[in-house]
Amino acid sequence: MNKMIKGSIAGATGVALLMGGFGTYALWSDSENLAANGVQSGELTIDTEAGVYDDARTTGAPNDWTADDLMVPGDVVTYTQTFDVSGDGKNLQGTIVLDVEDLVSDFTTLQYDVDVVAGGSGATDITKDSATTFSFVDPFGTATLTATVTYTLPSGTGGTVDQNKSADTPASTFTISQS
Amino acid sequence: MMSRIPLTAAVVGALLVGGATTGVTRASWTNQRSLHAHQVTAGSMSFTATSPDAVTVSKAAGSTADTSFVLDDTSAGKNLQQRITATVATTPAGVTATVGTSCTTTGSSVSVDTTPTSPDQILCVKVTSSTTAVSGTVTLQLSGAQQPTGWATPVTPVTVSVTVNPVVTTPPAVPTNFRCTGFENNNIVRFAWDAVSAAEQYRVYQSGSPTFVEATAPAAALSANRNTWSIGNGVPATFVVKAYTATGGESSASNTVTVTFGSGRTCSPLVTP
Repeated sequence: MNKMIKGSIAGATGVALLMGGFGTYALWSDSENLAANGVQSGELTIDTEAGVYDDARTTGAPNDWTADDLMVPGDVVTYTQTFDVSGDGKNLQGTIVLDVEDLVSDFTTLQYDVDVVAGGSGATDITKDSATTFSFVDPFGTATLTATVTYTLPSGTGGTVDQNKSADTPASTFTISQS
Repeated sequence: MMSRIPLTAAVVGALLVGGATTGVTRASWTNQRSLHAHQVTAGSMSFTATSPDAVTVSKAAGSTADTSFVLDDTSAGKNLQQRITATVATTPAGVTATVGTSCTTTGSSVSVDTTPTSPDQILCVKVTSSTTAVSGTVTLQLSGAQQPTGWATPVTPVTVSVTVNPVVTTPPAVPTNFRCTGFENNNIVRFAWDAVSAAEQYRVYQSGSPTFVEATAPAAALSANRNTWSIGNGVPATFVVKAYTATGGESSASNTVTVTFGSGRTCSPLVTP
């Protein structure tokens, strides 16, 4: 048996001894949990209800105008539609815009105005930039936007002017967007 | 080496374009709802007037006749209130005309307030003649004005044809078929007779008495109380009727009717309706 073979046998024996010793030694150990966690998203929604007409000449009688009623000089008629908006999310900011379509009318003296008013708990976080435009830089929770279209046939409309005329407001888009 | 430059530029360009595209398409929330389509419509203001019947008066001072016509508010509008005014515009020579909501209260013009749902209005036109009156047409101008301000209707004429007859100076014809038609009680008897053309009034007398009770034509009947002549119970009394016009006076007396008042009341001739 030459020296090389002897050396190999001795080495293997030593490794075997060392490996047998590992299984029987006690060593320190410790652990901690990574706490349960997750994320959740906010929301940005807008919903609406049916609009209602009102005869502004009759106080104390809400929604007392119908689509079939006919205007005469001196009449002020409003069409009001309510939108419920929700905006939650730590870094949420954006805009709310009513893109009003042009009035289709053959009147000559009819006055027409559109205005939107914010109300509800989140209204203070919503800034009115124009009659139909709003912005927010913080989540506002919930708010109500009331869009009112006002039609006025001036009392000074004389003769037979503007009799049997009609005015149509096409559907207009109310958009709430994150920015 | 030269071929690597275009390749590098292409890679950098692609990255830049990709970045820019990422900026445009960066996801953000948005939500929409519609302000619903809706409409308003205007109404109108108008009225119609029927044509009044023609009238006939005598060519004498104070001869009057009246006629009427109906106003209908044909407007449309929830809050519309209209004031329709009728004004006497023209009359024939020697004729005056007035208009009112009743024939007892008339003037040179009258206004009535109406709405599209209010009942029709009836206006009376009263024509008064004079000794210089001539036949012709009374014209009224009607116009509507929204209250308190606003629309106005075009002026609409309404005409009344007036015939002025010569004054009749002869008495009217004698009423015929004077009769008793029954009693209302022991004191009151009912009379009737056949009408006489042109009569303005009928007068029932107890025969021989200057006292009479009258009925205005065209009525051809009346009830008479025996106390007018102080006729006692059970005493037969005779009555006659005469036709009357302002210019011709009284006609001759008609046939007589005999009446006995009281519990044993009788009358003759008796013709019950």
